[in-house]
Amino acid sequence: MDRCQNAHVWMTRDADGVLDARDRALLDDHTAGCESCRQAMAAQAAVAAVLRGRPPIDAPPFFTARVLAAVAEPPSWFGLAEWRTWTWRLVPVAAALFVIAAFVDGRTDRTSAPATVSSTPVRTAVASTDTRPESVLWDADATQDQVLLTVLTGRRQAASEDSRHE
Amino acid sequence: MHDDPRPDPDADQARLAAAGDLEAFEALVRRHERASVNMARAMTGGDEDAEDLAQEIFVRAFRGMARFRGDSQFRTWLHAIALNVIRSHRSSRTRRLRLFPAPPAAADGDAAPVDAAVEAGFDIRLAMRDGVDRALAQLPDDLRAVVVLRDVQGLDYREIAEALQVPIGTVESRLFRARQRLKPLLAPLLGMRAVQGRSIGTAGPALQVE
Repeated sequence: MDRCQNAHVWMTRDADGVLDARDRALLDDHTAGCESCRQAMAAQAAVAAVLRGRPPIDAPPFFTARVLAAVAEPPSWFGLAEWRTWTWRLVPVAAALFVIAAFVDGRTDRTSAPATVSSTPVRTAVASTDTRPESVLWDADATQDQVLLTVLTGRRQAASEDSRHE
Repeated sequence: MHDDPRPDPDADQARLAAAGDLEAFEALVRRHERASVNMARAMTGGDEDAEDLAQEIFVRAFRGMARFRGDSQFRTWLHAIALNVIRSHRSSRTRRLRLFPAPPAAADGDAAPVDAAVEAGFDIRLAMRDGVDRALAQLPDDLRAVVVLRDVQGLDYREIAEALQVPIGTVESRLFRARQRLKPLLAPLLGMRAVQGRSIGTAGPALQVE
């Protein structure tokens, strides 16, 4: 079986025209006594010929113009088709924002703030005029949930909404 | 992985494009657009999105031009991008199909797509291309990639290994297995070639032999 495995490599190279003379002699010697390898060798050559004979298709009209128009557009930040990629890319950003928020919350005088039972920082209502999705990244009031929802939906969550309730 | 010492015919244009020269990038697109479209079609079984995929390949290439260092041939690098784009498309399509399964195939299926096309009076070249693309679609992704890169796109073993980031020995092994699995799938086309001799199969891309 090892000899057949060697022959498989040789017949692949033979079908691609890159088999050297020494290996060709070894291949010929092997296939002279191995029917299955003779058939496999014929298959390699026949299939390769059909595939190489596949009639190519031309690029559609104005293909290059469409490509140039597409590259002229700025990339979409939160394209839904790439949402997984952006989710993973934003995880360290979200984690950093969470740490910052927790740090700020820990240093804030909370004597007048409502009591909470969760470690999630309490947000105060913020009226924001910036509705761009990417603005959530530099909004110190944005929670981890807001960041994630913005990434998943591609829309900035209403900044005036207060998700914390007594 | 495999530094290619051969001169790259696209080297000058790629260098200019990497520096932001749009005319140079346009020249690269025109030179490789046909290969990109055929790569997308052959890798997706003639998917209706193939032309959009081919376009996306170049968009990704443009946005990543600064990362092209010239260690490999430009067309090898472009094919690596193509594989990633197509892989992403397939993953996305698989997720969509999980949510919205496609209707069951017709009863007569694709047992002899070329014969059926000929009977219907379709262009024989179109029928052959569809037959090849449908056969390729039945291969596992890793086998399809090597055989498309070699026999449809004309890349040599070194270029394929570079594009796929695998050893050359793996390329050879997958090529052998891919062609063996394609033999029964391409049976109608093999029969047609035997009948029509050299009238079919002369339009393929030139091979670069190491």
